[in-house]
Amino acid sequence: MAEIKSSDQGDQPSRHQVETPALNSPEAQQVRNAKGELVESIKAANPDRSDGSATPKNRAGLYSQALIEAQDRSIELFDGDKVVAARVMDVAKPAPTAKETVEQQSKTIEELSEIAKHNPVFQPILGLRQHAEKLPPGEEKDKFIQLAKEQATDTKALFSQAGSQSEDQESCGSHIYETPLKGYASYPDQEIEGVRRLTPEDLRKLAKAFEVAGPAGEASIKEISDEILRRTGEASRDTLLAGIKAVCTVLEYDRDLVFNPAEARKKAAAAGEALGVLFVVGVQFTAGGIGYADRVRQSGDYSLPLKNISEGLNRWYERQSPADQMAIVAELGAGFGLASGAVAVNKLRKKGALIEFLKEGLDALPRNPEAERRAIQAVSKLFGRAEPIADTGVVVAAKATDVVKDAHDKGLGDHVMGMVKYFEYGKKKPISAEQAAAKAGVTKSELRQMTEEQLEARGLESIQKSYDRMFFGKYPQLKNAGVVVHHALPQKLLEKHPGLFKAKEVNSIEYLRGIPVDARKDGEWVHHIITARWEKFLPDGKNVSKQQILNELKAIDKEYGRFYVPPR
Amino acid sequence: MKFYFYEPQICGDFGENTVYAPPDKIDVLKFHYEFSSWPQDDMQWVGYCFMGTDQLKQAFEAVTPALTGIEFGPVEVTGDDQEFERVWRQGRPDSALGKWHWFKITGQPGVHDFGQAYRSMDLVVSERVIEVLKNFTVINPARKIQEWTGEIARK
Repeated sequence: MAEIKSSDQGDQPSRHQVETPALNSPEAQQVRNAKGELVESIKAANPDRSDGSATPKNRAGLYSQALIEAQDRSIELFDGDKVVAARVMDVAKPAPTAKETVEQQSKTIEELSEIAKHNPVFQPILGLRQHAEKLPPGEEKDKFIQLAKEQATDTKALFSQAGSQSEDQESCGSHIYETPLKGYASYPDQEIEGVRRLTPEDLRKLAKAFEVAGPAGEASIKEISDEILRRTGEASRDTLLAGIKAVCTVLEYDRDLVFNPAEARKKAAAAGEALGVLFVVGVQFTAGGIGYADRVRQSGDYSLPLKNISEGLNRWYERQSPADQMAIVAELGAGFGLASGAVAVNKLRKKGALIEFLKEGLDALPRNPEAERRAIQAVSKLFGRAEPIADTGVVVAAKATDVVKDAHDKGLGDHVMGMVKYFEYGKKKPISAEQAAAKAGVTKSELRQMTEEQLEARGLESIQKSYDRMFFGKYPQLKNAGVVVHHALPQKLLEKHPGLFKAKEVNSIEYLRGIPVDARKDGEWVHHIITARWEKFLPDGKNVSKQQILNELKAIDKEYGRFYVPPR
Repeated sequence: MKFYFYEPQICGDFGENTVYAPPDKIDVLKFHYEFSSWPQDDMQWVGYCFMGTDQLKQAFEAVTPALTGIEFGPVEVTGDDQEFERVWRQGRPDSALGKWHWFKITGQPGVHDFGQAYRSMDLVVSERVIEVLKNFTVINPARKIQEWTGEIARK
């Protein structure tokens, strides 16, 4: 709509607006194509009318009144024969059909309904709009529609809505009514409520059930879950299940850290989120070593014992470079809404300090869903990045040995065995301990105690860690960062030229390279270029020496090393 | 007619279900291709074997007169449980590798539309094949497609 103001410009190309800077007073102008009552209403609505001003201060009031009184009328102002100002008319666009109008109005109501779901302040406005819809076409209907629009606009302004909107603009599909509570959809409210409804006894029983592995443990967890659901009733079934699942996710992760690290890695982000939920609800944790569960039972303390998460998390944090530690702390601080520098980087290196920080950070959160959601996300992200177990074979073995008796007694010994990889001579892929034991004609326990020479005599070789654990143990910051762990010595050497290199060598950190998945040269993935080069260098049937292979490796590193992470 | 070296993409290796012909276990009787990364090109290669997507096979079969020097057979296609599952699959949880066919090269270089010398990795194709390939994905064709001037082994 045109302003009766010389400096204004229309902003829609289909609208027509003519102005002159030489406009003096309304009395000097001639009105054409306007009905008299409209002109009078405009004049009457002009609070500056007495001083002859052509620019009413209460613009909004002017337009709303004019629209309410005669929405479909137009006005042009002339100085003599020259049009000096005109109400903006979309001359190119035909008037909307009744169907289009109804569709537009339906869209606005739909939008208002959606907004009102998340922000109750909009509900009366929605009610007003819906009332207007029921009215027959006419002035009263228009009046209520306009009133609803104005109230929506004003309310939007109160909530600092983004985007611009003119008073008479119907829904154009581009208005997002943002509320302070955005991100509602990803807030784990069901999980939080579910955990809240669990009693300390429920937590204790679930923790106890996780001490037993295998089918017996699973049956026990199911029994406890069923018992909880029977007690709480069918109405809250889904909520309770969500809470039980969150608790079990954390307990399972804590157990898998030692006995099934590959599985733990897969579930890290989900476990972090579940841990965040438990913190938010206020579940108490204690971090202890082996046997802690017994002490918990004896003392009657209902804390959830997390044997491994705390220690493992801190061990991982300590291995990060100072720069990485600062980055981790900054990220966590941002997630918890803490001021920069509020968290002392070095203090978190103290044993157990990192998980304490998470608990305290969540305790100190403002209690609104958005803050809690961000904090839970920060914890989830931290767990997704961390590899909270030791990265050296010796420590893993020691840790495994620490628990192996306990684990073996509880039927978890196999999980320890799963960490060691076995290779058959002439094969590039590892086999399971069961398969290796069968090939060697021994039990798994006997297999575990064999020396390298004894294994070699049976056509086997063992490595303590898989290649990816080897690589990310050294470069934990590259985990889940879109990095492919590339075998610089092709694994197929073990098949095509057995005996030239050991599986230990091919899978050792010395011959592993990180290549970003999107690293390209001339549009081609670097990983593919290198694979093709090795394939051409090692055609079937060609004899090559170890030195020739190492020379080719050196040449490839020289040509493509700049793409590696870290670069060579 | 002009001929070209064409080096398809290689994103994997022979899978464990590959059956080799005795005695030296080089020639393949049953082809199993195991991807270690996600394929970009419609044609792949490993060792002395080639394979292509179903769409590419249909396009080759549609050429008239028929392209010579190629036969089609089945190939088992899988993704390995290492980097393929850990990295490449993660970004494409709903994507399938699709249907692939073994492109058995039976022709001679410079004579038939598809030619391959015995136990050579070099695939030599005619310009008629290149015309078809223009409608399919060939990443970095400047490297992969080079004019063939008659030599058997390319450096």
